[in-house]
Amino acid sequence: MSKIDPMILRVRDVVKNYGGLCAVAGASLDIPRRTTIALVGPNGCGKTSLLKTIFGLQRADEGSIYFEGESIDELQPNEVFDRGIVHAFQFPRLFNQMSVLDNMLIAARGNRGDRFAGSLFSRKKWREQEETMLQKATDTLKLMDLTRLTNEPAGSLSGGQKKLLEISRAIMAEPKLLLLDEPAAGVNPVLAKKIFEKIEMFRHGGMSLLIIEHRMELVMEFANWVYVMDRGKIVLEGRPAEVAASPLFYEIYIGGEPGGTDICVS
Amino acid sequence: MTYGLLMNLLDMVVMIGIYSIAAISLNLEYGFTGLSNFGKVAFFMVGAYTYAILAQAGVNFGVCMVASAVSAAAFGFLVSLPALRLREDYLAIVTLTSGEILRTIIQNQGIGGGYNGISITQIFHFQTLMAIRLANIGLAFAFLGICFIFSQLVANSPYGRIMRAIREDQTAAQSYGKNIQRYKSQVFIMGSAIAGIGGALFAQYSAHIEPGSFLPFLTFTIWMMVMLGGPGNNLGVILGAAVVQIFQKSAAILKDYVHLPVDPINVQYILFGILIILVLFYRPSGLLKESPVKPPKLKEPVNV
Repeated sequence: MSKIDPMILRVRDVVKNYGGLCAVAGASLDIPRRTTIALVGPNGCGKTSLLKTIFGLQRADEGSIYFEGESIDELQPNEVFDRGIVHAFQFPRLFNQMSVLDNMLIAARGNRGDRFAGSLFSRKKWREQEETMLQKATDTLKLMDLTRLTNEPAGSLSGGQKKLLEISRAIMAEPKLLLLDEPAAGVNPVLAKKIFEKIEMFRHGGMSLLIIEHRMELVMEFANWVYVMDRGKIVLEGRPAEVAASPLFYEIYIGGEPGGTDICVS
Repeated sequence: MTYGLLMNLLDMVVMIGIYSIAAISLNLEYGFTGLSNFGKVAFFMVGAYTYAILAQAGVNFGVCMVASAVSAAAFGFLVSLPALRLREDYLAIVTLTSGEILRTIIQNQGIGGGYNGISITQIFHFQTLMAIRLANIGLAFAFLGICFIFSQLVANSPYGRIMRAIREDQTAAQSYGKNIQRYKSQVFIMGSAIAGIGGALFAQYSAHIEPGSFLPFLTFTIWMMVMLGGPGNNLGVILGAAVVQIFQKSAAILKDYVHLPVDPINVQYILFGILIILVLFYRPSGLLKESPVKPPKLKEPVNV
């Protein structure tokens, strides 16, 4: 009899050192299913390091990570991806010489043509599969306002568009848990809000999210729970409103007293 | 046109066919997947020696060809085990040295005749040299056709898309579930097998091979063909192979017919260097640009 873990991800006392620098100093967090968790904190506090460690892009020195109840500490990123976690990079890492559409299709799961034998001997099968994938890719691109760029090389996109494509590509991979590293950075405020609204839509579809975000107004509006990180440790957690009201939050994040909305809505 | 010149030209066409096969194999590795294999000559040599040794023992042609491809692929797999864990530039160094090591071993251990090499009887026994050369052209281009179609099928499939993705950004490809070690290893094996076929045809056509036929310069020649023709475009690299080969052979032909104060072959080396620099400066994508993976047709047109 297997018990379904109510938490999709559990991170326990993860430590990550870079030489003498301790980037993550024993962080723990839980992500319930179908929730948006925000991870906030000052620059250099270890948020991105923690995210990379969860995804397997780097090994944790100590601690453990469980996804759907199973340990994923030792897995390579491609294996973590296969389990259902997708990581959208902070600085988009697109396949620059390939078209926007190809960038999307790369992310699709279960293409028979991905395997060598399949690419040669199941041509009919993967052509059919690609049609469905193509439909999905164009729908997602439409959602992100990238339709007219479908056949452009990804390298020719503007900074904001690259960010959008990075997120679209991640969504194309149908994650159970999506790790987003500053999705709104470099994107205009209206579009940033739109991105979060789309993400919210996907959450209702059954996705869980761990988002690093500096824009507090977005965190306030969309996150269900907030973890505040400082110097490698989780120092505070709670509902967005509780966190925002905490003096500790202002001290570590902004370095001052709660002064007014003009500081937090930057 | 004299008979000698015509024979030289036919020889050139055969060699264009054989080099094109080698260029296609490097194109799979470097052009599509971004693997800098600077030891192409090693895999070419494995194919050539396998063919020569088996053919001398009287094994049938078809079996020799298959064995050449398989042995080169096996050697490719062996080299890929340590090499593909390395970063780009180190991969280049390891493959470059693997070629030299193999050549030195063959030369000094007396494998396949050692320094003196090994002679093979050609498979075509026609009366005239012309008929033999024409038959060889047919043979080389038949195999080129097979390799070309194979390479096109692989490159224009979802598999080929992943190859390109690995070339563009390995970490991103891995983050989207692609086991990049496995892909790189497979591509290396494919490329080696094709190079082995090229080597076997080379041995068959030359009728005599020796370690001196497989100097690192051969690797650089194949690289020139790929760089000039257009990495990531199979037709382009065939064009590149033709251009480089015409260039090389005409220098050799010129030597017989024109008296210059300098050896045209030496001039050719200098011109090659200049040509490569010019290509990299003014047309880094090569003569023919990379063709994108053809997406399946959209049922409804995209609204612009």
